[in-house]
Amino acid sequence: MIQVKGLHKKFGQFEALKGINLNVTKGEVYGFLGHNGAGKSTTINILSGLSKPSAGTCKVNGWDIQKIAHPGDLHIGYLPEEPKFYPWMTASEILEYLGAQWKEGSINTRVEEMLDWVGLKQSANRRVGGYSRGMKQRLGMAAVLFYNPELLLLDEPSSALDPEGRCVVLNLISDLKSRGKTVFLSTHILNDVERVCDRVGILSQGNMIVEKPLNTLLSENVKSIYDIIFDKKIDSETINIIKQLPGIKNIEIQEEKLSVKVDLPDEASKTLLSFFLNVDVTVQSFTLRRPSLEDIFLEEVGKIEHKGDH
Amino acid sequence: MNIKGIIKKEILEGIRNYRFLIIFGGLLFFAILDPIMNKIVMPQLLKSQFPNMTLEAINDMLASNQISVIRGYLEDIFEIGTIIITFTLSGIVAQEISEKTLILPITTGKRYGHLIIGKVLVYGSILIFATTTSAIVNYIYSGVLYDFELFSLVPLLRAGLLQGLYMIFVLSIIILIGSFVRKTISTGLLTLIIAYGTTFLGSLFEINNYLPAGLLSEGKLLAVIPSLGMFKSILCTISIIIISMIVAVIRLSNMELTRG
Repeated sequence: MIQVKGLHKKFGQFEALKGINLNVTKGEVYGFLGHNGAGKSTTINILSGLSKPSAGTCKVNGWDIQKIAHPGDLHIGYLPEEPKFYPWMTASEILEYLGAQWKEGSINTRVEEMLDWVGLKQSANRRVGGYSRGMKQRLGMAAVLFYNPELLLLDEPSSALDPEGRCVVLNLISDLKSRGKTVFLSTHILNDVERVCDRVGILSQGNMIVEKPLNTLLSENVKSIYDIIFDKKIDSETINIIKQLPGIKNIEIQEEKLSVKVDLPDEASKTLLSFFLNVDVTVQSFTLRRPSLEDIFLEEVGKIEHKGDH
Repeated sequence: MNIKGIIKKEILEGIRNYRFLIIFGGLLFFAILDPIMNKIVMPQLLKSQFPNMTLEAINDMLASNQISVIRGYLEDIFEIGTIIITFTLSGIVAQEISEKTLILPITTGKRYGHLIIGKVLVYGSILIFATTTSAIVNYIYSGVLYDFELFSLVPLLRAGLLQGLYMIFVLSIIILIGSFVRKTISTGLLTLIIAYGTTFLGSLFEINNYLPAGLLSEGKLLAVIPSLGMFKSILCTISIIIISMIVAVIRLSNMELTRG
């Protein structure tokens, strides 16, 4: 659905995008991560046809961005970070206005259907000027989905919402995913990505530093450390024996908890579990330390920033 | 059709933001106030300055009649009405760009050309209707206070329509400048500079027949038979309106709307 190669964007002397590549396939939810100012919105504006790239190729929904005459030709749904509506219009009027080209049945039925989907049916006839930020975001979702596009570009849809509003928006994205829609989700909220995305791309200082399926990214970054919690404090003699077991590199001790660094996690788990079966301790918890997406993000971005400093 | 929804939106906006009311109210205010000022207020003011003079003598001195009152009204609409209309409509494009309200309509399929045509059709119709209606109100009111000296309504209707066309020229300049400067106040000020500047230069170099200002001078003549210059002015004004609209559409098509 989206193929980007060597995408550059300059604003005067400032280079916001330095040749990024990315691919989004049909039906996937793609999490586009990056700090504020990394170039996420610049990328999404180009993908929506509202901004022209300085160099590179960019195909969206089968259309070459450089060759389209009008952003509407892309037939996609684009939700800006803060969707702006006419405050003097009601939600129904806005959807009627934006959806005026709807030809698959009655427009009024479609408006009702969309407002119902985003949970704004009760406020359909209230002027949008009085809506909360979360309500506007949901109305934006209804607007961009009005024509039932296959591809959606969502620019930080939950970043300024309260937890309840965020939850509603994420549920809507999950619903889109179940309907087989392709979603390009730009965000800096990593929990949201972990909840709904299939694949992630991390952007830093205008460069794409990582692009992988979320599961692969998480499993590749698993730390070789087992966190083991016992029912009582382990004596020093037992610890010394553990240290001498094959594949054990280091042990950190915190009361009833041991953090054991190992060479190969699979081999080490067998060795450790067999050992604990034969000593007088009860293992309450035995877990391989898994990094959060936040840890990976900070590590990857940190590497780039560190290189930049040198 | 795409443009039908745009027209409906512009009508709603004009009503809910009181733009139509301000335009009608402003023009009707002068249509009613000018005859009263000339017939009642001015003589009273002068009498207070010259207590020895009678009201009849003052009226003779002022020598005002229906035609002079209508001409005065038409002049006021150009001088003050243009300011009212300019600042009432100065946000129709500039504000949409700065507040980013064009983004969703554009990405959901609306065309810049249709948006601009919709605005010109709605506000242009209102301006023509308002200037013509106000001219008729001024004619009736001045006729009631003085005598009906203008025996045919045709010159008056023509004056109203020409003024309406002039205001559409102002509207097209608002749209053009708004697409470049994105600031409502700056758009208003620049539009006024162009509106008054072209009139001043037109009078200075005697080229009003080739400028929108020629519409106003033709209207003020209140002649039964229009001059050839009027047709030149109409043609030039319509050309300027169309060119302004085309340039505005090109400008908007090449603009990065997301930058506000």
